[in-house]
Amino acid sequence: MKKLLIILFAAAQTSLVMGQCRSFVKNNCGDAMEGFIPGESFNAVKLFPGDVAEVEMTFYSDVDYRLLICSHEVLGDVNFKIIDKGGEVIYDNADREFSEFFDFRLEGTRTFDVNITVPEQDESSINPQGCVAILLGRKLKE
Amino acid sequence: MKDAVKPKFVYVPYFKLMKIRLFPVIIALSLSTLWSCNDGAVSDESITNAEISKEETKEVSEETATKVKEILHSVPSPLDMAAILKKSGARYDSEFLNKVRNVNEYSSARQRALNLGIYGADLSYASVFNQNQESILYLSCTKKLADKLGLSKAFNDEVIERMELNIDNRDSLLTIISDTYYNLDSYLKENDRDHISAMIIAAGWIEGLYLGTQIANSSEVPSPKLIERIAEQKISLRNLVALVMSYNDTGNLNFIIDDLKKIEEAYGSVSISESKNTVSEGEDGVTTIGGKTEVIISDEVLENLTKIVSEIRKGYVQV
Repeated sequence: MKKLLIILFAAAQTSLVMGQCRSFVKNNCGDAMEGFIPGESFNAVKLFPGDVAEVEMTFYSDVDYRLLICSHEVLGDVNFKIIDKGGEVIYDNADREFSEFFDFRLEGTRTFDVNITVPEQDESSINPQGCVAILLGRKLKE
Repeated sequence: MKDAVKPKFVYVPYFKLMKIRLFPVIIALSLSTLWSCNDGAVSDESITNAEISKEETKEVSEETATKVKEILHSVPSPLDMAAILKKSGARYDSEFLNKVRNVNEYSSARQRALNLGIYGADLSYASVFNQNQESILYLSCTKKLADKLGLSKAFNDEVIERMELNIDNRDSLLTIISDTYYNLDSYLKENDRDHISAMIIAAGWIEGLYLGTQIANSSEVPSPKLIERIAEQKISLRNLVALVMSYNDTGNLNFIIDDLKKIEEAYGSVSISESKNTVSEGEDGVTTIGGKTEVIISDEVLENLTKIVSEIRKGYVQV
């Protein structure tokens, strides 16, 4: 019975966090894209601690990009890495105090994997679920 | 940190869970159904719920799996292609765009979705080239199609008003267009209509490539930068095919996959070589990822590609 109550409580917590990712992005992520033209594709997932998401993204040369990984605060410091097709890590936000965004430009058009990992949490705690959105903004140069 | 569970040989759409903690999720879904406040939009839960139903049977044996790995795909938008066209020295030519008058003739959901993508690319093209009045016209076309697809909630009249108010500010216009398509995309995905989203994305990409190849073809001496950009689309095409395949559970998108495969074939002998990536941080705080991408495309390949893309696009826009 106690176990069931714990699960029910955990589930209740989870359901509270499972608000709409769309609303989450709208209300929480827009400001960080100030000065950039946002992308048109909606890329967001709900993840638990320890989960991983991977996005394959193509970037053009000569464009200033901002890659923003906007996540619900209950998930803690979400780690993201940009990895090239050879498996080399181009960027790891763990080296920059888990910054939510990365500003960059490329000399040549490339496809990279963006690997997102939600940190594990104490097993005794209630594992919350939260939205993680991947947003790409760009500045168009004349 | 424990290793993530790897998916097996499948492309998965944005919300499709490869491994599911079934019990707590089912409880959570039940509770959230009881407690949720309906604001009129279909919630994420309903999508997740539908997907769990689909996955339940085959995933039960993996009930104990503790990690989820999701794979998503993202391709550059028509706006990026339009910006590339402008930067590469292309001229604006409205003759290449889909005719505004066609908008009322599209009667099936497939035609409407494809042309929502196509008009969206035309809208981006017109806006990037500061063709403000045409931009408003093309925005109206996209609004009409969105309404007919039942997407009025994601594309209301306010968008047209915002466009008109910002008519002289190109970056504001582009932000409004991007926001609008982002809203449409998120609305479609949240309402389990991601195959429509895939049609819009694919048709928009094809229209961007159509405009690029037509502009190159009509120039006496096409800009080498433009040719290079057209060739580089081979890189994003691979990603686009993966994206469309990930939404093709019902086979509704087979025709687009076939069309994209034809374009892939046409790109066949285009060679792309990438030098090693280097990383350096500039004084402006922007990181430069160095490493050139060299592309080689012959005149014959470009000509054939132009023809194939034009044929496919003709099939999409015809009334």
